Amino acid sequence: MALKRIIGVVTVKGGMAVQSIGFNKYLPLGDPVILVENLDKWGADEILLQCIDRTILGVGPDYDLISKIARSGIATPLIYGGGISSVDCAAKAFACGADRLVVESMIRDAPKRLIDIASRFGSQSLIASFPVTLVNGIFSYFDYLSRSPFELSQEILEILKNRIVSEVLLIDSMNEGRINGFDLGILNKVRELQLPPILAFGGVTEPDCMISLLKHPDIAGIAIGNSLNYRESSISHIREALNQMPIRSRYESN
Amino acid sequence: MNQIKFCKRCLYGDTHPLGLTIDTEGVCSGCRIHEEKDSLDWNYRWSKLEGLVSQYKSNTGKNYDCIIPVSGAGDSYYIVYLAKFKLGLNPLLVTYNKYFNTELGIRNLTNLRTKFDCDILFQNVNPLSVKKITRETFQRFGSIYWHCIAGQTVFPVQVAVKYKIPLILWGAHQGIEQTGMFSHEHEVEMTRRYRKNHDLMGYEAEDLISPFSNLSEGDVWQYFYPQFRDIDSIGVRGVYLGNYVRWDPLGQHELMVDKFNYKTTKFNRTFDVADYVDCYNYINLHDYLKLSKHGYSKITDHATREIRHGRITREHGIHLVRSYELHNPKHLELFCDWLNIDRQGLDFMIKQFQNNNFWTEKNLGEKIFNGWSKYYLDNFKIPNDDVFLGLPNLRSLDSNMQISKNGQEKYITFGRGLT
Repeated sequence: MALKRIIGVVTVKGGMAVQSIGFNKYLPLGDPVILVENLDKWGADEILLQCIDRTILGVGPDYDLISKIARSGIATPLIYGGGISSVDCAAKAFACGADRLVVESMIRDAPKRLIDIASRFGSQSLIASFPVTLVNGIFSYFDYLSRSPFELSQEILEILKNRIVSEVLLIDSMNEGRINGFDLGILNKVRELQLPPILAFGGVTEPDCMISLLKHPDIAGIAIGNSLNYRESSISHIREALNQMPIRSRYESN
Repeated sequence: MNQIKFCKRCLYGDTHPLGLTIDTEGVCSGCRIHEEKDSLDWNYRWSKLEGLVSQYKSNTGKNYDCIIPVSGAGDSYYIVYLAKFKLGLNPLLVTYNKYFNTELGIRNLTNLRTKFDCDILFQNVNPLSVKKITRETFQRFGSIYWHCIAGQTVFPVQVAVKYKIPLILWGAHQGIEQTGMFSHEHEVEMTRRYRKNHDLMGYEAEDLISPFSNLSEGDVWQYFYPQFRDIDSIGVRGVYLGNYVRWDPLGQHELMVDKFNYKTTKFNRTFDVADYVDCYNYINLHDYLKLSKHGYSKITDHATREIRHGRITREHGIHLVRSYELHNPKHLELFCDWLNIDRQGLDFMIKQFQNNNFWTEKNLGEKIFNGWSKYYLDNFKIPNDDVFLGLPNLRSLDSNMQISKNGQEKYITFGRGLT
């Protein structure tokens, strides 16, 4: 059985790493390069660098930041998200040092470009990001830029079914940045869609929540953001708490 | 400068070096998190702290329960007071020799350990290494204080690992208090990442060594952070009391002056009299370098703090900042003498780090200040009322001691003994 992964998330806004809470409250953290270096030392399986304001500002991916991180010599695979809108963007992001890309706006606005990127670089290089909400049993996909629900078109569903993207980053928008726990009801709602393997993100802070997620057959990994910054060696502590789960064993960090 | 956004409540701008976010209502993350001081149940939070520390109490009474980093200033007294008298802990105090020591600071430190009856360990890094490091950090990124912060933040962790005392108690988390980096409820603990990113301005000891610097490993190894495996094996944790106690530095200092005879002094670059009394340079040269690089200085931190505590208005704060921030730093000759540089060299170095965003060239080589305080309010009028009206005890705190006896200012060397 393939081991499941622990992904450390660094959220960047205005060039600064931040804690994001509910997509509308942001607390400063510091230099994203140092945060990424730290997650690398701590032994995250992958690091997701999400630059959440690049699309809305219309400035494209933060190539400088990807390059700086690549030059820092991290050994952990780097997933980059933010401002990817074309094959050329993707090519340049990979050239700068990203190992995989996560896309969100492109899925809604230009889903065909996903096919072009996957054709050139392979499906394993692509992750589709979907913020979702589950409120009073009503489930919807959530556009965090316009802060409104949207429907998955048939075109998008086909792309997902045909595994044009290798994984889906499913974000529990209601619990994003909070310590309430990822709502497992979301996974039940998406089962029928036969999505690619899922990375769960949003409220993933407590070991009980992590264990429940890692036990779920559709989950390939858990993505953790804000809470990794609250204490030393967070990932080691998480691995210890999850030692019965199918994850990589404790990493001897430096 | 027009692109800097300022909080509409306090005096911070979004170029704050720790990082600051401003929400859609124009209020900064620091002010928002400060609101928690009046909304959280501090009795509940105190009970959480009691539960947390109880697991570290020695059963035999023959070991220390925790480590407390102290100095002759700051929150040291209050932290030790909470640990010993409120939490019933047996702490080992640790202190790092900054070299820029005032007599007042030495006096306060001696008073601390005798009044509280605590054991203490001193870290004295040899002066040659300290001076080499200071030259390097001053030249490379305009800091004369790197060694002080590096030593103060690493020595407690080294002692924790060496002596197998896992719990370290700190006072307030600077990121929380100033820019609202975390909620108090996140209960954030000490991390190497924060230390490197913010305390040490992005440079750990290893980062100072390069083929182009004069430093070798032999000069900086005392500042190496312990390995994660050693920290994890002991279970070392640095806990911030400010997450469990409603932190109010001015109120706490008043209490410590009253109960334990902590001594304060006047400064020419801020109205606060209780912070940093142990150092000739913190509120002087170090503070002036902060103004040069970041466009604001400690007076802005102090005024912002008091605005948030509701003791002065924003207008009072602006007036205080504009009154103090451009006062010349003192004791520069002492520093030059210590580092063996001349005054021209020092002035040259300071000018190298004047940020062009905050200093405008007037004449050749001369720049005028154009920092944060120039942009706070249009049509600002100096308040008519007494700015210290909300700080009634401040005047009784000030000037109860000079930083040096008989006006003879010199760095006091630890362990030199009587001469």
